[in-house]
Amino acid sequence: MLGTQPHDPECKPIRRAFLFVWIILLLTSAAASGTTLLWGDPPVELPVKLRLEGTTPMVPVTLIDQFGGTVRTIDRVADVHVGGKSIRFEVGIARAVVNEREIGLPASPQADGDTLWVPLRTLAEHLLEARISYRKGDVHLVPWGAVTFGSPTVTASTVEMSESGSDGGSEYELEPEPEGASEPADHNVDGPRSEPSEGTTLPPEIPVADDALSESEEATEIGPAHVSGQEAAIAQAQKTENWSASAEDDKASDQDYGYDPVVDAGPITAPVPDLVTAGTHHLASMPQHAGFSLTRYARLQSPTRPRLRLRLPTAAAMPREITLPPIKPTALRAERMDWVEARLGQGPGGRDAVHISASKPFTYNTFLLTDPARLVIDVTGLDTGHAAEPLAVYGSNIQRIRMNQFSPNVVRLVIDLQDTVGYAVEEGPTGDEITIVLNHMLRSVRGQFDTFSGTVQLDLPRETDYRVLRLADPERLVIDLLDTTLSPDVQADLPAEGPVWNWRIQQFDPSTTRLVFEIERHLDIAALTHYDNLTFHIGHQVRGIGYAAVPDVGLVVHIAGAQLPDASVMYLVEPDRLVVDLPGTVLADPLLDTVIDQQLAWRIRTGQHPDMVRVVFDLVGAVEYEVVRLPTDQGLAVVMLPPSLVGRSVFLDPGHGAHDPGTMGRILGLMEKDIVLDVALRLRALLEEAGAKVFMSRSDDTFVEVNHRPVMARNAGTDVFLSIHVNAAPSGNDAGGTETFIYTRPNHPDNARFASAVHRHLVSAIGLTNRGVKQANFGVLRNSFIPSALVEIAFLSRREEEELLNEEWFRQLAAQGLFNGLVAYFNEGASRAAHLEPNELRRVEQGIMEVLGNDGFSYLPVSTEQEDRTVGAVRVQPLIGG
Amino acid sequence: MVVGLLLAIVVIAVWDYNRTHETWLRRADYVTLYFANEDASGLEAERRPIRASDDPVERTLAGLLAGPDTPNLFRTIPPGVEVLGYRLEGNTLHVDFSEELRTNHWGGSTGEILTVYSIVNSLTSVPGVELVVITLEGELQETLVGHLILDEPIARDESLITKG
Repeated sequence: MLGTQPHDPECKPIRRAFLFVWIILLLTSAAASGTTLLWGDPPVELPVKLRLEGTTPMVPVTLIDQFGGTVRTIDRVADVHVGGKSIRFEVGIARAVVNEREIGLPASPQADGDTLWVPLRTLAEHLLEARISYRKGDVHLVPWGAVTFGSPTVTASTVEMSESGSDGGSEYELEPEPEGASEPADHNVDGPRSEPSEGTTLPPEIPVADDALSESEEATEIGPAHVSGQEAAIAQAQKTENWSASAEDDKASDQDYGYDPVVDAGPITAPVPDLVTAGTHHLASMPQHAGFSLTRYARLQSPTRPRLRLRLPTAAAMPREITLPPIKPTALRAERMDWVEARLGQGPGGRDAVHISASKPFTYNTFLLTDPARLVIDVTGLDTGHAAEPLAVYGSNIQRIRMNQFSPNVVRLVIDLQDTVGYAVEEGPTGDEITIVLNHMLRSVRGQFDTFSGTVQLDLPRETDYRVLRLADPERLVIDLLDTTLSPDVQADLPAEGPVWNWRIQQFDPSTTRLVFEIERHLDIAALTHYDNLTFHIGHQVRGIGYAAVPDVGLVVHIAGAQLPDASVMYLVEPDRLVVDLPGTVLADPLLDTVIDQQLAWRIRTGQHPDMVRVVFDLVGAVEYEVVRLPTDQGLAVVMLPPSLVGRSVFLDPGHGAHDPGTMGRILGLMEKDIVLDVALRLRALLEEAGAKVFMSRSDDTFVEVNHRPVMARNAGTDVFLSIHVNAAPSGNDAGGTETFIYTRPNHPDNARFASAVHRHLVSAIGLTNRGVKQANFGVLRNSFIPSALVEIAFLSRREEEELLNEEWFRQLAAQGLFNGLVAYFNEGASRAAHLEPNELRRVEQGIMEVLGNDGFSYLPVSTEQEDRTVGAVRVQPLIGG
Repeated sequence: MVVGLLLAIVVIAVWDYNRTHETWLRRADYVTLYFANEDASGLEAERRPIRASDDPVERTLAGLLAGPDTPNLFRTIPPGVEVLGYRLEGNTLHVDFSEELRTNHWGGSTGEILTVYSIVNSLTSVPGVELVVITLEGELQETLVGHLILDEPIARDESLITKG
C-alpha cells in the first residue's frame, strides 16, 4: 500500500538546471546575431536592419540617410533623393519611378509601422551606384568601380542560403545550354574541379570578384569599371567564337531563335587576342561591350554548375508559377534597358499558360513551328541586351521556355513543346503583358465497356470544358472537348463492346476535339467527379425516381428507365437506411435530396457513382423490402413493407412506479416513472401493430417489487424481457447518453445479442452519446431466465436530455428505436428481404401498375442549383447522397 | 551576470527538487477514496493521508461523506447522510447508513452503481476488508434506489475504476 520513495541522484536537478540555463543563453545569442549590411571596401557595417521578402533583401528606406540622401513621404508614396538622383516608391506597388522613368522592382515596398521597406537592390543600383554581394551570410554593397575583394572561402552553401527560399521543395538545377556543353575543350569545359575557388583560375591581371561567381544573378551586375577595353575585347572575341560554334552545331531551323548574331554587337575595336590564353577563363564575369552583356551567356558555358536554382514544388503536379529570372538591366546601361519576364501559369480549365510581361508596352507576333514543335513569340519594342536562362518544365506539354534579344528591338521567346498544340493569346489591358494559353493535349483515351455500361477516361484535367450532344439516326452520343488538341499519336485503348457499337475521335475544329459513340438506345452519359482526369460513364438511363404509398402494399419507389439492369439492395444501420444500387446506370437528371415524410422512409437521396446510380432511403423504422421488375419496360419498383412480428411475445417493464418516482429531472422536475411508462406504452402500440403479443409489469402508475417483475415475465411466458429506465448521474455531474445493462452472470446465452440489438437501434434512433452495453448486478435481471436487458434511454440529470425527454416526438423516437431493436433481434437484422410469394408478388405488381396508370407517383424534383452543364439532352452532376 | 546565473541555477534546482519529490506523502499512511469521474463512466481514486493512530475505515467513510478534493471528481454520497455504525466480521465489513442515503439519492442506474461501488471499492482498499454489506437504518435492503442488488455482500469491482 505504501508507495516507495523514488531515489533520484542528488545531482540530477542541478544538471537539469544547467541545461536549462544553457539553452536560454543559446537562444538569446542566436536571436542577437543576424545578417548585417556592409558597405564599401574594406567593409564597414551599416547600422540598418535587413529582412527577406521571398529571396529579395529589403531594407528600411531610411538607409539612404547614411549616404546623405533625403526621404520625403507623402501618404503611401516616398520620394528618395541622393545627389541628383531620385526614386519614387509606392507601398505595395512593384514599380518605381527612377529619374522620371518607370522601372520594375524585385519586390513591392512594404509599410511596417513607420518603416518603409524597399528592395535593397533597387536602392543600390539606382541611387548608391553599388552592387549587392552576399558574403558569408552578410550582404555587402560594393560600389561600382571599387576594386572588389576576393574571398576564396565563399562556398556554395552561402549561395544556397541566399538563393533558395525557406520552403521545402526539391531543387532542379538548370542545365547549361546544349551549345555551351558542346563547346570544345579550349574553354576547359571539363577542367578539374579541385581549385579551391573558381575565380582563382582567372589570370591574375583581371580583377574579378570570385564571390560574384558564387552568385546567380549578381554575376550579371559585376561592375565593369575595372575591366579594361582589351579584356572586353577578349570576351567579345570569345563570344564571336562561341556564337559561330553554336551556329555550326545547330540545325538551320534553329537559327530563327538563336542568340544574338555578333554582327549586331557593334564593331570590335580591339585586336583579337590569343584565345588559348583566354580560353581557360571560366568567363565568370564577362565585361560589357557596345551595349551587350555577355555574362549570362558566359555563365551557361561555365564548367561549373549554373548557380541559379529554381525551387520547384515537390508535389507530383507539374510546376506552376515559376518566375523566370527577369532580364535585368546591367549596371552600365541601367537607365536605357527594358526587361521582359515570362512566367508559367494556369489558364482557364487548367490549361498551360505562359504569361509575358514587360517594362513597357510592346507588340508581338506568334508562329507555331514544327520539327521540333515550338511556339515562337516575337516581342517588338523592347531592348534588353540579354539572353535569359531557359526555364525547363517537367510533366507538361511545355518542355522549355527560352528568351533572348533577337535583334535590337525584338525579344524572341521560344516555347519548346512536346507536341504541336493550338493556342490562344490574351492581351492585357495595358499593352505590356500578354498571356499565351495552350490547348489541352488529348494523348490518351482509355476505358472499357461491359454488357450494360462502360467508363471512358481521358488524360485531360477534370476542369476541362466539354459539352455532350445526343444525335439520332444512328443513335450517337457526342462529347465535344473544348480548347483541346488531339495528339497525332493519340493512344486509344477503348474496345467497342456491349452497348457501344463503334466510336471515333477527331479534331472537329482547331479548338475542339470530338468523341463520337454509336450506341444502343436508352444509354446516357455522365461525367464522373471521382477522378482527377476527365472521366465519363456511359450506361442505362434512369429517367426519374418517384414514390407513392400504395394501398395494401406499402411504400413503393418507382425507378423509371428502360432495360434497367437488376438492382441490389443493402440494409445499413446508424442511421437506418436502405441502399439500392443500380449497376451500369446513369442518372438522367441530378435529383434533389428529398424529404418524403412517409411512414416507413422519410428521405430519398441519389448519387452518380463510377459505375452505377445509388439510391438511398432513410428509414423511419425497420422494413421488409422487395425489388419488383415492372412489366412493359416501366423500370423497377422497390417495395417497403412494415415488418412482421406475428407469433412473438415481449415483456415490457417500465421501471419504478407509484411512491417510487425513480430519478427526478433537475430543471423541469420530470419523474422517471412517468417517462418510462409513456415510452413503454408507445412501444407496446408499435409491437402490437406488427403482430407481437405484449405483456407489461405495469401499465399505469402502480408499484411493483423489483424482485417480482421477472417472476411476472416468467408467468407470462414471453420470449424476451425489456426493462425501461432513464438515468441519473451524481449531483453536479453533467454526464449524458444512452446505456444498456445485462446481468453480471450470464443467465441466458442470448442476453448479449438481445441487449446489443436493442441498444444499437435505440442509440441510432435517438442519437445520444453511446455509453455502451454494460454488466451490472441488477435485481430485475437476476431472476430472469429469458433474454433480458435494462435500457437507460437518457440522463434525466442532464438539462438537454431532460428537455428532450419532455418531448413527445422524442419519446416516440425512443419507442421506435426499441421497436427496431426488437425487430432486429427477432429477424436477425431489422430490415430484410420480404421474399414475397408469387401470387403475392402479382398482387403487388398490379397495385403498383394501377397507381402508375393514375400518375399516382410523386417524382423527385430535379436539381437546378447544382452545377449543370446540360447541352442538348445530357449533363453532369456532382455527387449527392451516398 | 554570473551571480544572476548562479541564482537562477539554485532556484531552478530547488523548484525541480520539490517538483519531483512530491511523493513525500507516500511515506505516511493514506486511505484511498473513489469518487465519480467527469462523465460518470466510472470511479477515480483520491488519496488522503492519515495518522498512524487513525482508524482507516473511519477515515475512509468520513472522506466519502465529505466528498472529493480533486477538481472534476464528483461526490457519490448525497449530502445529509450519516454513518450509523460499522463492524468487521472476518473479511466482511458491515456498514449501516442513515436512510438519507436513499431518500436524498439522485437515482438512476449509473448514479446507484457509482454510489455503491464508491463505498465498496474505497472500503475494500483498507487491508483486511474483502466484502462489504450495506444496510440502511440497520435493515438489509433489496436495492438502494431500484436497480442494484443490495441484499448480499458486495465484492470490489476493479472494472469501474478508470484511474487508480
